[in-house]
Amino acid sequence: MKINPDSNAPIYRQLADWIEEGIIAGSFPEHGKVYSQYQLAELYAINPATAAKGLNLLADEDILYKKRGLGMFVAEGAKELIMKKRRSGTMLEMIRETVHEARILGIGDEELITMIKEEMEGLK
Amino acid sequence: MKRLEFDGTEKRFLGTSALRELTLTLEGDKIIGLLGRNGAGKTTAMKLAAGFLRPTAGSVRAFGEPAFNSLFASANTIYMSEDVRFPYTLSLGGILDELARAYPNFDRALAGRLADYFSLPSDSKHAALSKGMQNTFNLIAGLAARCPLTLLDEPLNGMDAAVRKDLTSVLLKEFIEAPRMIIVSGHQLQGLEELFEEIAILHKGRLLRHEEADSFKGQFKKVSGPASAVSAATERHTVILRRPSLPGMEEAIVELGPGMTLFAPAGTDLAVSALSLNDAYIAATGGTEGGIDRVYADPSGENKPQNRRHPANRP
Repeated sequence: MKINPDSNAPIYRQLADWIEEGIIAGSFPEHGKVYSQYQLAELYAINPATAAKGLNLLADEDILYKKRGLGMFVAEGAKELIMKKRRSGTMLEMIRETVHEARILGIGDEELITMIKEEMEGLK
Repeated sequence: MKRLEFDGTEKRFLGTSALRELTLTLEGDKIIGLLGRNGAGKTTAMKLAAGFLRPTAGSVRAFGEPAFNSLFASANTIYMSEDVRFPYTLSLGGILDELARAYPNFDRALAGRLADYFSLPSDSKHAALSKGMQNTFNLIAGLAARCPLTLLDEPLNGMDAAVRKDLTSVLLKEFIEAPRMIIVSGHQLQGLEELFEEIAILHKGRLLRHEEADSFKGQFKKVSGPASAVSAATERHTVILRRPSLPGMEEAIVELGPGMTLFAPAGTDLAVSALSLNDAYIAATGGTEGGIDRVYADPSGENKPQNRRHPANRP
């Protein structure tokens, strides 16, 4: 991942998203330790306070949990939680953008659905 | 005890005010960006903090003591810039040895390793180095001193991109290794901006803003889309810049009102995006109506700008 300072999403959110993707991919297994704020700070050349904000965001959403003095760990069921959250958030947002783009280009509903189906075929 | 406190501080040089009534309190172990355009008063503020200058009016306190003439404050403060001069008889290694004698936390071994890494031979003379290498050496020395109040005045000036990137990492590693207050001044921030937890912006000798970097950044947005939609979306905010883009389209940079947000309404062609800290800072301090275009505009408005190619003149 590359931090994008111009993005609408603040950097701590981008960082949280990246950890979420790591959890989905299985790079951070349940009850496994994730990076500390200092490791994240060095990894992305950002302020440690910003990195801590990203971790705390995930802790507030019960995706990570804190072990005093040991760091942050992946909560049980974190993967399902993220998938559920993203389905109703990120995925819907992307669909909205796609539909909007199709309207600008004058692509009809049928044609759009065909395009999506073709793309799905191609990925099989 | 406050780490650094300016209270109604004013500094005049030969009758010209470099700093007017600066009131600013900085606390905690943080990396703080001191931003401002050329002539905003950054260097003056830093030199006052370091105790190099005596304020004309008001006070500057470091560690609770007047920064000027306090042995306690100066033992715990280091100021580095590209203009810092060292005794010309000393080699680089000798300078580091002397700094290690003056500053109790100075990590001499680390300074030596960093100097090696950046190809700064210990037997070279400071004056024999290029501008960029001098500044690299100064930054290494300033960080190795590990002072609770570390003042770095435009630390990345004159360095090539690779060195700048490495030194950004050094700055962060040093902060993590030995947390302290590091104040970094600058007017171009590329690469450093994500390190700032807090920023203070000086403008024309006064304090313009002092807040968390994230919250400052969040107050500026770029809005683009059809001219009428841009007008409607931005009317409740302060428009800093507005310019045409594609025919019929406009883009604007706005500062949001306190506690206000700005989202693109669903189903419109309006795009709202965030600004980087650097762009937000330029927007906050820009403020010249019409920008550079105005200088080049024909005052009478009659003549179109023309392309005048001047022949080479023979004296």
